[in-house]
Amino acid sequence: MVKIKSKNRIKNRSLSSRLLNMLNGIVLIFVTLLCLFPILNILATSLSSQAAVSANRVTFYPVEFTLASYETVIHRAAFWTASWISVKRVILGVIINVVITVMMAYPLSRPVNEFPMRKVYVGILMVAMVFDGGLVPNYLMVHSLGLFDTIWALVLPCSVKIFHVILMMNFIKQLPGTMLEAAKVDGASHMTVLTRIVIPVSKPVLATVTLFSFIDHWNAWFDGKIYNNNSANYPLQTYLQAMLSNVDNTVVSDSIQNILTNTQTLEAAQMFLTLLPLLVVYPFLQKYFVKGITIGAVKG
Amino acid sequence: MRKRKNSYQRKTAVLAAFMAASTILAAGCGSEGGDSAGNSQTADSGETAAQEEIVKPQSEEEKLKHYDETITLTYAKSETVTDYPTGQDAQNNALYDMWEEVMGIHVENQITASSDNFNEKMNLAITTGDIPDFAVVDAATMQSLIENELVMDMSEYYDAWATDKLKENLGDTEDAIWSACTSDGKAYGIPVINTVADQIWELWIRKDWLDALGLEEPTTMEEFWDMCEAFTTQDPDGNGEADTYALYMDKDLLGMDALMAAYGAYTMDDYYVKQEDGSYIAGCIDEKAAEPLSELAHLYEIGGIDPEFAVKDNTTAESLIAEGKVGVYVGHFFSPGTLQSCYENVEGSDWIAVPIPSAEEGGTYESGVVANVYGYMYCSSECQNPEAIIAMLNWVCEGYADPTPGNAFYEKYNELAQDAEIGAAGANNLMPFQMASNTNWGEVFEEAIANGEDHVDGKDADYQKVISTELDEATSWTWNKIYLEGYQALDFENIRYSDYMGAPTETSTKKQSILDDEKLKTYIAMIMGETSTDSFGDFITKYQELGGSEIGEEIKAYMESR
Amino acid sequence: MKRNQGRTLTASVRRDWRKNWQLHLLLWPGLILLIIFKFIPMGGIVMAFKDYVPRKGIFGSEWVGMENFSYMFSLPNTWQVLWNTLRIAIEKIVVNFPIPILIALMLNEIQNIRLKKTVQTIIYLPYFISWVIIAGIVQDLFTEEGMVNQMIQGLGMQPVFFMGESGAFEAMLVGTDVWKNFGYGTVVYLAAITGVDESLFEAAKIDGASRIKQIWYITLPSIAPIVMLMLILSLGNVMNAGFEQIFNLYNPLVYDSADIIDTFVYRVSLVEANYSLGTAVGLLKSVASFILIVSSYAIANKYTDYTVF
Repeated sequence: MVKIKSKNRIKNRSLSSRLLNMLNGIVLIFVTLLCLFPILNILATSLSSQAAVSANRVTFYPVEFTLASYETVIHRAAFWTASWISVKRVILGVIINVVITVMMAYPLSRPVNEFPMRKVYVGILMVAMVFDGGLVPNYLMVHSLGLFDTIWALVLPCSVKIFHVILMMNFIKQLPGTMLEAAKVDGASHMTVLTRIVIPVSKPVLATVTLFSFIDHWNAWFDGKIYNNNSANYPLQTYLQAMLSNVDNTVVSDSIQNILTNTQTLEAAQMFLTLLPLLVVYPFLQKYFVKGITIGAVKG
Repeated sequence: MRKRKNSYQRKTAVLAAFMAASTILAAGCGSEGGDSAGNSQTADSGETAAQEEIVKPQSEEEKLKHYDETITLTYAKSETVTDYPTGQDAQNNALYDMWEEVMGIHVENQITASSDNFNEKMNLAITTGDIPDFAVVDAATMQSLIENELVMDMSEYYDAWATDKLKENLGDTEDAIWSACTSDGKAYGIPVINTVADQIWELWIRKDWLDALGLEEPTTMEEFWDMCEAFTTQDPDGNGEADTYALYMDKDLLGMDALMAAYGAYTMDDYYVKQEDGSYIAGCIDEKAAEPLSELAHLYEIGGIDPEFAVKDNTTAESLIAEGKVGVYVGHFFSPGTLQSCYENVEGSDWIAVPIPSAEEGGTYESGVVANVYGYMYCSSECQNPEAIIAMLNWVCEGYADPTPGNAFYEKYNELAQDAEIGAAGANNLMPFQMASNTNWGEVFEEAIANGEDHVDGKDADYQKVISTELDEATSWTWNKIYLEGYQALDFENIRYSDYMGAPTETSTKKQSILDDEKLKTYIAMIMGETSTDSFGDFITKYQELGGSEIGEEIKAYMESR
Repeated sequence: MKRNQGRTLTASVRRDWRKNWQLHLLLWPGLILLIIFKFIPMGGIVMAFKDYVPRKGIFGSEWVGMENFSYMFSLPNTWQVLWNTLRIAIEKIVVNFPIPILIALMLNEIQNIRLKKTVQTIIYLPYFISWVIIAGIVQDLFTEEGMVNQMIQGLGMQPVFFMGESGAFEAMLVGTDVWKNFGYGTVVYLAAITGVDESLFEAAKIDGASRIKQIWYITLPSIAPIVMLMLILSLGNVMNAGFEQIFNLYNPLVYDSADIIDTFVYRVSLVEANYSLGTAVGLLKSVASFILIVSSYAIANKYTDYTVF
């Protein structure tokens, strides 16, 4: 029934409605290009000659095509060290994050009559979500634990993401109650329910949390800047941030060489390489992103 | 039973968590505080020990100490190199190895940060009390270290261990240059001097533009402004379009303070002028600055300055140089590095170095210098080998800054500096720290070339580049310009130092950045014509009210107490 | 009395532990991490009431009562910074509000499934790009000779001084924020629209309602609760004007109009090393945020049955 009707709808379309439709499509395509354009721009910049870039002649496509900037990046050890640190951080960070999320979300998804202490824990999490000690106290804490310049300084302080816990908790809450009840009746323990029933059916939300956690860790730069005394331990985004924030190289005679080597095309090449893993992973994980925010935001 | 106990413990733990939040913190930070207090005690006892037991070297040779058993000192490195020689980095490089070989000192970078992040990192380290054994820091950080009692009194060690040559270069601890690192007559740091050459400004002018318009190099400020106007309006690049700017300018007003100095106004940050009545004012509120500002405003109005300069950092602003749109760059002897892109991109372009003229008829231009130091070297009160700090300074002074040919440092350094990759990164930049003296290397190089010499000790890496026939043309142009023209335009004699070189005063620590912003904003507004230079008096009033006058009084009080 | 109460509490805790020890156990690793990295540092807030001297530690430093706060409010910057924060955050919320709804409605009208999917996928890509990189790109695109100005000039208008003129800079902040985030809202609304009961449209169809009318009378009212919810929740962010964005984009020329609480705290604490003042300003923000978030959640709970937990 529905299908036939909608076919009719198409047939009945007036000219004005068709025009409107076209306009709609054109506007949306324009918006889409707008979203894509800056990425194309850095790719084009990275593949152009510095002279063309300086003269503002580069838009969507390379002008005076050259791979020179990528050849320079290949030899820039600092960039690859930073990349490796980011990779390590993402792997460790995502694993810890997902495990903790699962562990916290399950108990909190239990109803109060079953788990009366839930209220207390929720209260604690609420406070943790809203309040923060601030820059210096956090810094002192990480320092006193001796985590400076280690990967743990980047992984542990942000290991509990309360938003992710809420996401997963809401997902478990909306699972059909009968499923878990049946297991309970059979005398299964919480651990069994969690590992045998909940985790296997939670794949979509787990994928979402993984994606979010991946993005958070890959994009984080501020902690890398603060918790590393040695710039050799910077993750990629911190390295980029330091590079893009423009060290003033012209004020001392000691850095004549640097003036000659840092160029916009080189910056663009490094930015593009930083984006690359995201662009590769994104098409595969993006559908979970949709699922994730709809669970988190729409269902309460 | 056991379970019950557990649950009880858990509950206590929950409750305790919040209480502990404060108590653990107290313990953690309290113990830190205790540590430091302990440190300062050890520092004190260290001092008394120094007076009684400090091992004094017997001879000048001994002051160039080599530790037979390698010692390790932690350090905070301000990083300037981006492309290291293959397989080397800020920690593992030939120059750090050389340190170990020559002095028996292993320098370990506890903090490595790019130069613009460096102060922030040191500030953070100070919050924890966990600072490296030594580092070269600016006056404000030095002050903070002294206030927090984290550093050692080095007076005794300096007296006992510094070689005659180092003392000749650094002077006596009562000299003005030491004021930022001394407190109550004790030297808590050692000034690490830089060559004054880095702080003398000169004009770099498009030679081909001068020629095209038939102009001479300016010898008075009047001629300078006329030349700027000509560069703006007479189409010096001959392309038929009014697309040229006379003067390079960026959001930090790079070089503009040097133009003000031609009028006797020393407007750079941290520069103070003693007035006739004995009071002190910041150089930037000197009324003499109004005239050059209105000249700049005029130049801006006629299109002689990039209308967007106020948001361009140096990297962005320099692209106008590369495009051949700029006629004058107020820079340093080493500025050809910045100008090379223009030489490469714009056919027939060439630059010459011209000393900044004085605005006064027949007057001499005096360069304004706050203090020619890289910074101040402190020694942590926890450091076990304070004498090593002085020994390192001895070595760097005698082997590099003001060299005595023949010592181990000198030989090794000049050997390493000849390596192409190390040379490219700058052997001096790879060292943990450097120091420089006022040698006019331009004259030395010129003489060496005249005599057909193959090597110049101390700056051989650069000399090789100047005389090299293998470098590409543009790079070769740069090195020649730097040493054979840039250096030659320097006047080492006529320097006017700030009347105050001490540490930032109390008000200054709190308000200096607000004041510096105010100055920059006002100057920019005046140049852009948003504020008239006639209202310079209003700026003076506002600046003084914001804290300028308090700082002046604090400086006066300090100078009188000295 | 007291002892009795204590006993019953202990007893109930014991009972709960016996029954649910596995649940407690699952929660504790995360909780311990929170205690270490969240709650203990919260104790550091006392710095705001002290003259923090690192050597003395937080607890050894001298109490100064409200001195940091009175100094804070004596600084002309503070008021400016508070005003900037509120203004920029609200501008972002206001502009960010209608765009995703509009785009979602438009997307919903697209018949071609492939096109719809592609557009969808690409428009929320920016959400995943870090501000570090976006700022790097923006700084190139918005210069005087940059592409944006080339286009503006192409339309016959005067170039705009984006990085230095307060109004233009603010517009750019809002614009880039929308660019990065509108995809997120679009996804939410699109999901809500897809959930609208199809039979309502059928009925309207039979009544001969145009598509615009259908959107106006059916789609919009159906997604209104979610729109409300999103709006209410965004109020919790009024104190967050976007540290990462502004920190990576601003320059001294726009400090007057673009310096927000977070950038101010950063500069005061780490550049000027005035730790106590920095903490005081941060605390002020925390308290304001707390009130805002709690009340926005309460409103959301009351009007839309939304619960966070």
